[in-house]
Amino acid sequence: MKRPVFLALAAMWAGCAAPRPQPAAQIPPAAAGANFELSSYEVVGTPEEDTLEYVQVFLDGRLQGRTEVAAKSRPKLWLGRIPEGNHPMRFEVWDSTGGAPGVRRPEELQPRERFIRVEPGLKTSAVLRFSEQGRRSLLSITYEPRPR
Amino acid sequence: MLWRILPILLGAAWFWACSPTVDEAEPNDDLAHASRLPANGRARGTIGRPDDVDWYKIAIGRDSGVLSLHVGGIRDVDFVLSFRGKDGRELKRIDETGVGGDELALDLGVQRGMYYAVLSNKNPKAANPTQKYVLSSKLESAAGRELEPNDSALTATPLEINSLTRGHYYPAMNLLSDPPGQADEDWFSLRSDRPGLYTLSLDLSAVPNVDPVLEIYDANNYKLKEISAGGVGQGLGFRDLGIRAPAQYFLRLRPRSRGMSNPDVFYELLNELRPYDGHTELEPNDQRADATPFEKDAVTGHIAPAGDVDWYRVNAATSPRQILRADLSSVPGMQLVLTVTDDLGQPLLVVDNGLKETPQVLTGIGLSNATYYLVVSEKTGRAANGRDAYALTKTLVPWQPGLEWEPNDSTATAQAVKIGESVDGYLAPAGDVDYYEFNVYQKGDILCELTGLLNVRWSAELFDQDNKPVLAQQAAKMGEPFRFDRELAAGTYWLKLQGADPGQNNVRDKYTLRLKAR
Repeated sequence: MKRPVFLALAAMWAGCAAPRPQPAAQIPPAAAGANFELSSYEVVGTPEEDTLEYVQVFLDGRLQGRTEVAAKSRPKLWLGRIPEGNHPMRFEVWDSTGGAPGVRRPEELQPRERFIRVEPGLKTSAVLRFSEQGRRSLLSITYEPRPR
Repeated sequence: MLWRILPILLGAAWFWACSPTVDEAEPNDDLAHASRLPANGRARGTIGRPDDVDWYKIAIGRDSGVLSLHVGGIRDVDFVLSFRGKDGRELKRIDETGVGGDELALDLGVQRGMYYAVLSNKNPKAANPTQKYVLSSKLESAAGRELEPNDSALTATPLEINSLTRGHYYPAMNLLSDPPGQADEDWFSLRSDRPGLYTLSLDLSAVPNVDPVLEIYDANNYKLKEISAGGVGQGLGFRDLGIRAPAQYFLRLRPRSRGMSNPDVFYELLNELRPYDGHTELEPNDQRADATPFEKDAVTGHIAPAGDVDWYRVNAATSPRQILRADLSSVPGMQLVLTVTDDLGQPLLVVDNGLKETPQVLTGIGLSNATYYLVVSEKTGRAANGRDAYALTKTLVPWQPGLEWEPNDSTATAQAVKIGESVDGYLAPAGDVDYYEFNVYQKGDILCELTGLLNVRWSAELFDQDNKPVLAQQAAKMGEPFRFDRELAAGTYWLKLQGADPGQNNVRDKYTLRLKAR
């Protein structure tokens, strides 16, 4: 009679003492035949500033998907298939605590919408770099041949 | 006028003539056998042999005073005049002249008790045992006077706050220094016991033949500031040293080189300690860590000494987006430059119109939720002006759509503007370049209009999202408005605006940029 109680208490103790699992990186499934990759990260000054965030991807005003939730300083990826052509794209940054949907950053801290050209047969890579506590963002676009 | 002061002159002459005169009583070769010298009197004696030493004791009958000693030169004798304390310890040694010369000891600080003046001869061939020398002594009030010896921080003369202190660059050499023969220097201490923030200003009068250097040290003997007059026979001034009381500071005053001295003309050192009112700089503010908080609308400061740089901290952490405007007044003989830096001290914008004795205007820079710095410097780094202050004024206004957001000097910092909107901005300071970024969502005619600006001939360039030039045009004339009309495909574009010449700018008038689709 005493043994099951002891085991139950031990199990509870072990459950409390063990390190809490970090929220698993929620990586949206990569679109088949992805021709666009977004990598977003932020330069942070201190470990305390390195909180969780993710980035939503909009094309022509429509949500396409989002990156995984991860620390600001860690590059967060989104892979998707974008129709070829020149499209206005917007990347929206959301602060997250890991579980909740997150909080959208104020408009003045959001990167502005820009046209990005997706060329046939090429993979478009966009790197979004934030600095100065998110006040500054720099978007750079590169192209490379897409494996068939 | 003369008849009015004649009685005073006659009285002084009578007093001097009638001041008590005594003769030395040999043997007076040591402290125990010292002859008497009245504090305001004269003694006569002889140098009977080359190694003769004459001791005189001077009784000081008041709590404090300043004593001066003078011995007139006599043939063959090279006097050394020594001033000693109660226990015979040597406090000051004077040997400024050679054979036959006078010796003079000035500004000797004394208190009630016995002091000694000792006369000796340096010439081994002296043979003048009969000619009498006259050693005179004069005691004055110590109020507002330097008190020798004050050759180190330990012996510094205390300064009375907000008062004038007089002293001499004399003797030329300190014979008791280690090593001996260094230039004489005068140390003063300034103590403020009442807690609070104060500013200290100093003014030092000019003295012929002397190029003075004034140094300021804190209680830890760290040098905070060195101010030099920059020439022989010039005075100097220093303004607004920030003091967090209670505190003690030391001033070290010295001539630039050893041979400079002047026993005839006082220097006058005026100190002024005022409670800090936020309207002046707080020196030292020569680096970011020591920046003066710029909390009021205006602040005054000085570029002194030469090469001085003044940092001011502007806290814009309370509002997400503000526009900082600043005006820096001109100062005679100076070419001032105003720099805006980020919180790490990296320059964001330099305001320099390249002209001497003209104001510098920061027409606006966007600040967002952070600390920024305004830095005032002098372009040549050689000019200093401790008397004429510059005034730096600032205004912080909330940013609103339709206003330019500097810095927008590159494609990376280009300001977003939508087709159908307008932006008001400044093309300033000199060399300013303004970038605007806009999206064209449908292929069509885009009209760009710019109002005319006095002193500016517009030059515009348009780049597409691949950074390829689409258009480059200039206005017909300076001051004229400018416009272009171009069919553009859908995409992101950057518009670069500048003067046809980098020197063209206008700190007074805003331009308006309008983008329209047709």
